[in-house]
Amino acid sequence: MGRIDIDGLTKVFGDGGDEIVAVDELNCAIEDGEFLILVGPSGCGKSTTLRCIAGLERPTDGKIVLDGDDVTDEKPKNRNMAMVFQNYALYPHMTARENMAFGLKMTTDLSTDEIDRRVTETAEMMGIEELLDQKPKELSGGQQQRVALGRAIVRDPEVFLMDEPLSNLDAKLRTQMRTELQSLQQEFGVTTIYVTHDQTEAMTMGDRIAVLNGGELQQIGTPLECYHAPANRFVAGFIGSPSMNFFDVRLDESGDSPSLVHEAFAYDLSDELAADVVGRGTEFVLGVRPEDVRLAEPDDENVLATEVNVTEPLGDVTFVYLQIGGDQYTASFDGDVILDPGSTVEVTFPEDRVHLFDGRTGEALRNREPPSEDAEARLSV
Amino acid sequence: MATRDVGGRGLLGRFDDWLDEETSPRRALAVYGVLAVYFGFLLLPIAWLILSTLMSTEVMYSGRVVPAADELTLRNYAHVLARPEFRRYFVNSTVVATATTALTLVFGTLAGYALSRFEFPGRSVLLLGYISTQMLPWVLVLIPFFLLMFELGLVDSFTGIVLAHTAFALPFATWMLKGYFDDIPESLDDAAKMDGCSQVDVLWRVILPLSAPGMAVAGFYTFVLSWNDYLAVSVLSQTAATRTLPFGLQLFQTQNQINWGLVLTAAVITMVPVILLFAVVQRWLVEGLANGGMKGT
Repeated sequence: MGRIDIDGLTKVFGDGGDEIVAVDELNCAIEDGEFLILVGPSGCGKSTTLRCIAGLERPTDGKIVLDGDDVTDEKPKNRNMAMVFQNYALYPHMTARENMAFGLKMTTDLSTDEIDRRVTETAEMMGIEELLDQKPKELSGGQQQRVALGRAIVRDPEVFLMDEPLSNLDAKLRTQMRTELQSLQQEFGVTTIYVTHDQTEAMTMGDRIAVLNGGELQQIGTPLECYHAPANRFVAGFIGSPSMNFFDVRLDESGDSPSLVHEAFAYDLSDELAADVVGRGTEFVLGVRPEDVRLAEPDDENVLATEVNVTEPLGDVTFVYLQIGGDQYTASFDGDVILDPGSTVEVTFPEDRVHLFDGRTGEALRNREPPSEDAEARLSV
Repeated sequence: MATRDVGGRGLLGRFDDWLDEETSPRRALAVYGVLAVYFGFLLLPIAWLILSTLMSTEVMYSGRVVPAADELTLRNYAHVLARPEFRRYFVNSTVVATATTALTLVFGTLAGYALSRFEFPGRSVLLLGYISTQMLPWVLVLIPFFLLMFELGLVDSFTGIVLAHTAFALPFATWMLKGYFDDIPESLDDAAKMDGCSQVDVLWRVILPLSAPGMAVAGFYTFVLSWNDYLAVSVLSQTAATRTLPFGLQLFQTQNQINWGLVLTAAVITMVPVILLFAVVQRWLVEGLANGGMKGT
């Protein structure tokens, strides 16, 4: 079992006038066997949260409950959790075998033979049996990473805690290890809490992601929930790469139909869209994902003429950077799209694909409809 | 790397091949020349000192710089080592320096680790306090120290001398070890805690094995400081029972006469343990002085 309940977790660093609230009233339940990703920008409190769960930091307030037992004040060794660190934290004076055996030696009464058997078994599974008698400095980054993972796995803990474990690897190895980690987690079914600031890891690895900012939980949900139905502007901007385009707009109800007015365009609202914003103030943020920006067709409404700044053809998609008003925005088109820098293109933001956020609080008022078959209808060039 | 034909190139050619590609033989010879002068300047007095201990008084005063081989003798060593006081001072020095080193390393390690890893009220003041003690000349605190030891009844005891030496060595050793611990990533402490270690286990099983070079430097510094000290022992020691080797040199001089052969021999015997210790720990010593905790590991 490995169910974790985090109840009002708060961690404040410093004393006197220089207090920093690293984690603010975090509530979260992590099911047994779940793979939860903690994601957010640097300094958002994700690592501190993980360290509180591990017992490496003492929370200022709140509770951490593991399988019904309050472990808030327990030492790390009493929590039966294993952790993988960003820099691997392998003991330089020990061989890979000794590194992997160390936790078992310290926490169990197993005989040396039994410990050795378990280490060898885990090493075989991880494909590192030939490295067991080498010291960390003799291993490559990827091999060190495997030993660090093996050190966690061999303990057979209730919870795996991973603090950006792939961030020191090169891009190719990171991709490979990402899938390996997922397979391992699925194979063992051990509750895993994984900290990252990497978009791709967040979107692809976990059952759910918890998005943190400024120590506060912004949203917790499946990766696609957070992508398609962000709770607020922060989540909308943070999840997805390239990130969502945001336009600060003002509601204008003086015409026949209400519209959202931006410095460079006016976006006429249908009755359905108007119902989400009318009566909720005048300042809003219109959000459009790059892949939802379409090249306009003759019959389209809300067409906007923009200037092309740069195009980045990646083969499968092309990112086009468009000048709208004083800012640059991103559009993503399927396939190769050849647009000369400086040329003018007409684009549109389909009504069923736009997000609307409260201009003051950033709270989502309307999210785009989930992807459907009509996504195929996007204009291909 | 390309191989070169060295056949028939003579001594200079072979020397050139031995050097790396960027260094010319002329430059290398100049560097070796300067180094030879430097080390000659440094080592010649010591070589002469050792040579002098192998001469009888007559040969020493004969005016010849290098004596004939059959004139060399170990009589001075036999004479010095035959003196029971000298042997006693040697044992005393060993006891005092070893105890001082052990005490300094134990407290220096604990203090250095605490200062490196924990935030606690007064930490900065303590760090400044440690370093400020190094600004005072030893002789300045000697009398207050004597009075303190007198009050504690520790004058003319090994305990008093060991405490005095420890008091002088501890601040430097603590600072040195703290710097060394600072270079060891804290994630290793965290990993060890996750692996079931208590705070003491972390220090004992992970930090200390990684700190061998730092410990070697701190230990060597302390041992040499204690071994060579004359000033504190001269004040705190009242009888032959607690005197140390630097006093041994006095045994071979009277008010009107100095037996240079015996004094130099006593000096050489005094140097030997330090040189031996250096030989044993020099690998860690060089690493410890050159690198931080994790570099080169």
